[in-house]
Amino acid sequence: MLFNSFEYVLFLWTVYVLFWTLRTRRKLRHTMLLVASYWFYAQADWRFLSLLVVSSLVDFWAGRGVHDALEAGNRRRAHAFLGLSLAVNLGLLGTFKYADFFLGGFSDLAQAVGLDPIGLRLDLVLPVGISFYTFQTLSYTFDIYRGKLRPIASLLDFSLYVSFFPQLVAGPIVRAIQFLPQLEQPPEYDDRRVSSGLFQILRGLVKKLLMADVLGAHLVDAAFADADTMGQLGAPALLLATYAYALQLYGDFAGYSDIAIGSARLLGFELPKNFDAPFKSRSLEEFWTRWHITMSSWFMDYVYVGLGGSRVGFWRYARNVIVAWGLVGLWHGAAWTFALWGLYHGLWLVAVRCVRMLLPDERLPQNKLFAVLGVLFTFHVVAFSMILFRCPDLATFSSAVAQLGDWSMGLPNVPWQIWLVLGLGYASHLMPDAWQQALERGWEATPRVVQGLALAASMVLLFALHPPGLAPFIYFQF
Amino acid sequence: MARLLDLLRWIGPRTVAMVLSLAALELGLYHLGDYGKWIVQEQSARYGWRMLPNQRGWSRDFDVREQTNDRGFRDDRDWGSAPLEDGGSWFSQILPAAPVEEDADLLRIATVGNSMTYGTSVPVGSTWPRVLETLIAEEFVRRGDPRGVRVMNFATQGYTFEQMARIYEDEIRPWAVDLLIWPTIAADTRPMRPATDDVDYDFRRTVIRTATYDMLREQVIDHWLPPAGRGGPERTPRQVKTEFRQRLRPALELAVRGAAPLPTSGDGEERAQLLAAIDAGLARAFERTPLDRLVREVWTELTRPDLIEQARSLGLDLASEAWPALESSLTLELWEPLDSAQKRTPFAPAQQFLWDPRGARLFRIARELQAPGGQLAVLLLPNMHLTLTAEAPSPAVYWQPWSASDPVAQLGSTSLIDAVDAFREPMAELAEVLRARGFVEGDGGQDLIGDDYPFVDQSLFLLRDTGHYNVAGHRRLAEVVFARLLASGALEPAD
Repeated sequence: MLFNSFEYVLFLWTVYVLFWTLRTRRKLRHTMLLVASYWFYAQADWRFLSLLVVSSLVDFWAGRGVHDALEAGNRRRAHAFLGLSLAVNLGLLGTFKYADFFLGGFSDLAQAVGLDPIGLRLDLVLPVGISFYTFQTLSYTFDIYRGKLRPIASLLDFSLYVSFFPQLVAGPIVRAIQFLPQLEQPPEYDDRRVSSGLFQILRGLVKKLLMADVLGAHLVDAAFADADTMGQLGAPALLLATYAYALQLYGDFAGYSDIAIGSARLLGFELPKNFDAPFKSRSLEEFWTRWHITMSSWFMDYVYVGLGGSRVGFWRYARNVIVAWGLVGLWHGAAWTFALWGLYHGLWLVAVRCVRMLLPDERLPQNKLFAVLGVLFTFHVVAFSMILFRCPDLATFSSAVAQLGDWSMGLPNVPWQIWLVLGLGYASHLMPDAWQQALERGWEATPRVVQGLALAASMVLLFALHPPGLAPFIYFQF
Repeated sequence: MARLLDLLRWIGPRTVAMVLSLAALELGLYHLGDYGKWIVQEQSARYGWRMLPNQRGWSRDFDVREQTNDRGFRDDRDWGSAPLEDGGSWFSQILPAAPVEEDADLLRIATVGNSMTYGTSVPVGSTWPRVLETLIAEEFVRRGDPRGVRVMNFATQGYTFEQMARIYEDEIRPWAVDLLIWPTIAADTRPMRPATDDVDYDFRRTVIRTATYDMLREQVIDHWLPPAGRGGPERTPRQVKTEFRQRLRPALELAVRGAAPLPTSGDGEERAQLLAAIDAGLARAFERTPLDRLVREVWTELTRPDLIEQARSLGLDLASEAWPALESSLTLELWEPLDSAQKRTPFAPAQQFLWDPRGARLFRIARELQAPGGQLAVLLLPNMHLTLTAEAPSPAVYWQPWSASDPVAQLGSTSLIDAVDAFREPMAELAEVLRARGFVEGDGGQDLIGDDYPFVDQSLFLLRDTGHYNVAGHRRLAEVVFARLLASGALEPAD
């Protein structure tokens, strides 16, 4: 069930009414939310519910095990439980997401030495959301191991944390430490929060339907279709397609996150922010604090810091960054393009550190000129990486890189509506934060009946203006 | 009560305002704006487009009320379910079985066709298939014949030959009808426009029937938004060829091997050899042929005598199997020039490659119908051009290469019904006037017959849409068909 479907509107409305009707019945309310979440997940593929349940049960049990072992001073036993959690979660992820990638690599290697490894493929379907919920459950066990969190007593609440439908399929990756305390509190109905939730949902739908889907259907998909098409583009068309793709990817994923955060807010829950106008970043380091924040902070806390972080010598720092960002790349998908994309970001982060080391106090200049240049430079570094991210294979990427040198062709014949979407998309993205906040405050102050009329008008307009059909969210494939 | 008030508080004025305003918009657009009152079609990869079932609405020009039955064809009656001996179509399988009249007591006639048979701008009761049904029913009453008669009209506006053939295969075949009438004009040989399935989403069929959607489509979607896929770079001939080949190859493979994978023993190896020979032929055609001759060249390769012979030894009629695969694989860039050339000069020798597979297909359908005792009748439809131009080629011309080798007459005495002459005589004086004065040009450049022309009452075509019959034209056509059926003995009870 997609967030941008009418079915989801009905589903969310039903859950909303049931939730607030059961606001004084904690157990019933949580059971209802769990059943609704499982039902939501089963709409994609009911068979994979078992993986969700297994992941929940293992970490519920492992979390307790880790805690009890640490209380008893038995670190070996705590490590064993931690290892179990890692083995099961990464095992599931490895089997379903990476098995064919590595088997393919092995197969190529075997062929190179004259062997014939026929049938070395599992052809497994990637369970929706597995990259997200396995990371959530892992964070629970890690945080208990680090002493930041006490294990939860209720399996129902823990299962709800793992499967809570707004963030189940594509994040934000919510830490247990952020969500579980909210389950403890009795929900307090606040009409302003409901207004704010609706505003978030509406904003997300606009980003997804009017920005991402329009740019995808009318420009990006055609340009990035294959190496053959790419070979005909020329640099101006490729740049235009890349700028469009950067906005499409942002609109698609940030739109999803907005709808997730808004949906949760309607039910009285607060999910962490996942995007914060990332194309305003003045450096690549800042970009990663604004783009897919919950994923990058997860890797930062549990991988990068685990490896030693930045308070080490330069070469160790470089190793840590490259390992962490290589894993970030592979997290996005089992393909060399993603691995290279992660390494590219890792290498740039190391390069930025090198530049900083040459500056007094390792600080970049703070004046406006440098701010603008920084934004432009960072955007183009990121945009180039998005070519790699979008290309279906390395052949298409090679073709794209070759095109960057070909300025013999002009811009493609792009309809004015697409220019308008591109212009408005970037303008709204770069709009000062104060304007966005004023817009949100204005919405919240609007009378409820007028909000209802505006919602109806928005539904009709969104339906009319977005390309026909429902385009799935890009991050579902990760 | 308190709980109810509580509930209302959560639901809130927003939801109420939203639902009420959407309902008001829908009702307002329907009643005041005349939106959402038409019969709706949906896109379909197999047929190009199909009407939605169970609709009531107006024709596009608000002339007549139209209705589709539970199978999505123009009829105010449901036909029940066909016997599912061979599985039937997906459509018939998902519908609950409805009572069917006993076949023994019913003469069952089906007709395919396009808008000329569908009855554009004519009430359903006045369309020629329904008039024919009435004429036959009256004849049965007059004779004291206890049988009933049902003429099932499977026509859809805009269809060409391949779409009609697919409707026959999916919808008509399971009925094992007594008679299939295949109305045809020269333009039917045009290839079907490449289509994709409507992107599906929840409640899609409900949504596209609403007045709100109708208004949005007309005022916003079709008016302001660029069609999906536009805006990218124009495709090179090589890309068009690649896409055509990528679509054609699996379709041909499916035609040769069927749904199952090829067995390694038995005739599996021979089929693999046939596929390899097809591949070699395709490679030659794709390598050497420019885009404007590609489809014809590919067809020439596929119908090479040695390939046809090789397929025949495997029990395969390659020409019949390959053409639908080829027509389904056309891209828009390949379809457009084919379509416009066939519209301009349907009888030109260069278009022969479009007639041949259709003739062969129709002949195969005729044979298939004969097996359980049915018949095929090809109805050569009159149009305004044929009515005015005595020396114009009859649509029968484009069946000649096929009918010469396998004469239609061999299939039964009802097999070829030429209705063109039957329109010339009653319109003779009006035709003279039209030859002398010409047509009046409509706002959209279309040919109209002036209201003030002498003998205008003779017209068997709509005055403001000369591409379609009026009520009198439909009646005339039905009478011609009825007379032929009567004369040929097709209405006599089977032994």
